[in-house]
Amino acid sequence: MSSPIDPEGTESAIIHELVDFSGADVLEVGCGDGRLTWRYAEAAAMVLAMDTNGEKIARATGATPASLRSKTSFLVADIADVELSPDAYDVAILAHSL
Amino acid sequence: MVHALRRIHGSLRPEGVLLDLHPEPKRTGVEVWQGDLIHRLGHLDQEEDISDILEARARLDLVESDGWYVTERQRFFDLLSHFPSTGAWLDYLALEGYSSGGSAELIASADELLAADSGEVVIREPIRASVLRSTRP
Repeated sequence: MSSPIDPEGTESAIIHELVDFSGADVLEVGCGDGRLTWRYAEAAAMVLAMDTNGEKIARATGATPASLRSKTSFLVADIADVELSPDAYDVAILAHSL
Repeated sequence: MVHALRRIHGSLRPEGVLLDLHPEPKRTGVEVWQGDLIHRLGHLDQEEDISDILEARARLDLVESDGWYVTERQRFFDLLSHFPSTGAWLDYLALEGYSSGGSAELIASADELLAADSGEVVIREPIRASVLRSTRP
């Protein structure tokens, strides 16, 4: 089933207006089921997307398009606990994470 | 969250950016769309959510005032979600683990409209998108 969220593509248009994802290494925190990830990953060089919810990460992993599998990784993790490489990303996304 | 924002800062390259997407401290609207007709039925009860949003925003302001980031651009928009029925909407809320739902009166109003004519339930959530440039405090 396609996502019921933002079929108009408003959010997608705005994030691409605000950020140039071309060739960028991206860290996404609070990625959920990957709904937002699919909207920029094609342009990015590499994506690490994480969420604390294992079920959502499983859905995101299972739904990863073949064209994005080599450059997109999903991780069950809390940003407060995970080990991140320093100076590794051009863009970080804090997606609806409070 | 302050700790998380600092960890993200450490992982960003110099001149890297943080794109923060989170709801505005306003209540989410519930509508029924039937053709060109939009019925604005009311809002979700979200006092607790709004309090959380304000706290998150304060923490973001704190790391910015400490010199970790500087806001470059902001955009405000409504994120719309479309459901064929109130049942589909409530199933989605349960699947996603959301605590805020519509009141019984609001759901009954939507059901009544959708029983009379075809249409969809549309949830309207105000969002703030901010681009913060990483700086070195």
